[in-house]
Amino acid sequence: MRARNSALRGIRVADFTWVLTGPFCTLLLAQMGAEVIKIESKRRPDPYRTMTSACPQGLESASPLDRSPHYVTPNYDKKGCCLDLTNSEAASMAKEVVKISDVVVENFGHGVMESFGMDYPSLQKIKPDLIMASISGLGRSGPAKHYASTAMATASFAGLHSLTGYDDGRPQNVGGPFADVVASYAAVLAILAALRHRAKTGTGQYIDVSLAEAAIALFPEAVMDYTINGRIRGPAGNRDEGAAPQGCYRCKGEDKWVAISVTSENEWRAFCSALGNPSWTRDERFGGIWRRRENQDELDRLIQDWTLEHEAQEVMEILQQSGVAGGPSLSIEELLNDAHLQERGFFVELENPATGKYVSTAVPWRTSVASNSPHQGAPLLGQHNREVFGELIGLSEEEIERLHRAGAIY
Amino acid sequence: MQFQPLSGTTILELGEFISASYATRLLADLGADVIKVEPPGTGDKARRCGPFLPDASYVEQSGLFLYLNSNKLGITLDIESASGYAILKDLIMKCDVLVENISSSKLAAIKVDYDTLHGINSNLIVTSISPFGRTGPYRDYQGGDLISFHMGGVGYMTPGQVRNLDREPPIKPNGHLADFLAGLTAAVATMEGLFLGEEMGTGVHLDVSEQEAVATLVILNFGEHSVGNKVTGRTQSATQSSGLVSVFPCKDGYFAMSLFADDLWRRWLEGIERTQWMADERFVDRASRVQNWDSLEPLIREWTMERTKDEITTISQAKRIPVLPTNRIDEVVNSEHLRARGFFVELEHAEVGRMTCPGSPYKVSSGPGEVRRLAPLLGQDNEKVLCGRLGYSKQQLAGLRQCGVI
Repeated sequence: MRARNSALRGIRVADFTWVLTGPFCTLLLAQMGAEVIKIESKRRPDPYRTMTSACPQGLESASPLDRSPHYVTPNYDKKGCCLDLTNSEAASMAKEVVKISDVVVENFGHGVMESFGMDYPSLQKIKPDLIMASISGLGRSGPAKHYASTAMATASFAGLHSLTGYDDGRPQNVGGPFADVVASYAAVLAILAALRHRAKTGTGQYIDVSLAEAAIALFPEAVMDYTINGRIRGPAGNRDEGAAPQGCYRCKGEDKWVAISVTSENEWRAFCSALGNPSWTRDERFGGIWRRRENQDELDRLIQDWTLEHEAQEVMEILQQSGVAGGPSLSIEELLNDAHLQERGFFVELENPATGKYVSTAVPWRTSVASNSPHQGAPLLGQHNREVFGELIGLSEEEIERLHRAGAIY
Repeated sequence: MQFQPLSGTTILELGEFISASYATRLLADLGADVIKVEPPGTGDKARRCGPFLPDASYVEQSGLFLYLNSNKLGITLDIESASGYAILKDLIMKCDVLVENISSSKLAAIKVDYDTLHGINSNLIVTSISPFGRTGPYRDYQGGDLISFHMGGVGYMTPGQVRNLDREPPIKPNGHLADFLAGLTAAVATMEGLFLGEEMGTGVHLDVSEQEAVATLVILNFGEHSVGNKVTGRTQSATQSSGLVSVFPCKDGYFAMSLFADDLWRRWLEGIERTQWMADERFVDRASRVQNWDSLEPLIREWTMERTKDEITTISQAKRIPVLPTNRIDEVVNSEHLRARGFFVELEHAEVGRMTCPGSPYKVSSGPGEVRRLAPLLGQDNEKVLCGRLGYSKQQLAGLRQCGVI
């Protein structure tokens, strides 16, 4: 849909994904200019389509399956068509879409693509240089490959929750579908690499991404501390061995917090002077990082006495003017209203006929040669059936009508 | 055929600590020829960060540094000196990509901003990684893992449930996950830059923001909020799903419970042989289970406290319920499943010893990426790069060393 100046111009993706990790992966590909064709089922719709949401005023006639924010947010700039893959004619049409695509992405449960006759070896027969990525909780091999999972369950399996929590050491859940999104980035990296590999060698690739493994790769220190020293790391609140003070401190207002991190003696001096050099900053218990770490509870109490007198934003301004790393723990609402992110163009404003206007995110980087093509809101269920099956696959109007009546196309 | 799609691509890394180094490590694993530039004497900050190998006595024994910098060449260069900058220019003319995470406030002064780099090599792909990006009001602000995690919106939602908002602050996982995530997204951005550069026949600047990388983790919440469904912070799950989606205690630790949907709840009750709760009017639907969580929680706990997390996982998975154990790090490393998949990688270094690290975050059918070369000792490849590639003589090299340029 975004033709000019895009990295993936001319690359077509057959998207058999649902929930988040697959859709976020194909969203990244769409954001880089690929043409993404989402193939969905009405019999078993994307669970995100069935998440309830209040109906926007004036859009009461829209189908409830089309208005869930969970669905529309990660599925913009994609085409959507709707098939019943348990119908053999529909399955062969899905294969027609694969035949004219470069990449297949799927994140169904173990064995589902096989049951449609769409496992990699079968698809390779109709498209020999196909690149196919499967994203799953625990990967497509190993004794637990058939386990049902969610982003939260795999984050727990991966050890992430054992590294998150307060002084009592109890493992805690991390906000956001962490493992889902991390696995999407890992899959996209592998897909882009596979496209280059194909350009050089003419061969395709099967890519197997496990949410658990993508998450573990982001905390190698904890893994190595165990394999080298036999030490089992646990939660540390907000603390880090390379910084003191480091924490999240209460500010003026209800549930308002500011994060502060001081990693060197220069920064400590700058921090003290930003606070106006109160007498406690000269206390010998806080002389040097090791002593500050030893007496961190007392140090945190004194800092919080100061932050409680200020707004979180104000603390950030005071500290940053002195070159000290500090910033508020921002809520979703505060992020959406953040002047910095708005100026950088991080948020994308979208619209579709069922949801009305809504907001999603761009890729977390800007390019110097970006394309300015307009964005398309997420597709309604089956919105692009005619375009995909007619224009791309080449079926006649009558044939599409027949398949529709036969229940292959919804 | 070996999966080395970036062979023939030369990448110069001006990276400190984690984000830039992780990005180029991922690209080096794909076959790129990466030259890491470090300041003479001190080297990269990561060399002084743990975990250290046992009996670590010098800077070559940081496990973190070894993990981040395998498969790279390493040189030392004082790019702030005139002769050091001249060498840097030579290198820039010979490479395809430059990845940096230099502090925004220093960039123009040391002449490594994009405009200057583009002037030296107009086809150069430049990936910049910074806490808030290179534009916007926060562009010169200081950051780091903690600040990014909180200013990216994930901290405010962590942990899922708290009892006392005033006493339990927003937190982050132990480690540097935001820095690593920024590195992963920067590797993707660099790949986009390579495609774009070829497509357009020009250099490209990719300006990666660590704050934005974290904020993409809560993408769904932005959509929810924008259509009027208010998203709150750490009390979100407590009010919406209660403990039905949580890290829940059992006999030998904890497990991840996800029983939000009605059908999962019913199947789970069958699995644990407590179908009598289905008829209990306090728990008939999701809303009532959330509302009466205080009565339900002790009942579930009574059952879970008599069973291990592995037993609970087996019973739940038999009913296709997405329940998995909450593993400690030792259990992760020793996981039979992860071992069978060959996820972990052994590194062995003659001087440094042996350690097990996480492997690649993806698997490809062409075979696993290999560690072809261990992380460089400080300045290990000075001669190889300066003499071998730029044509300096050994005498010139000695001179540069004497002046502290390398």
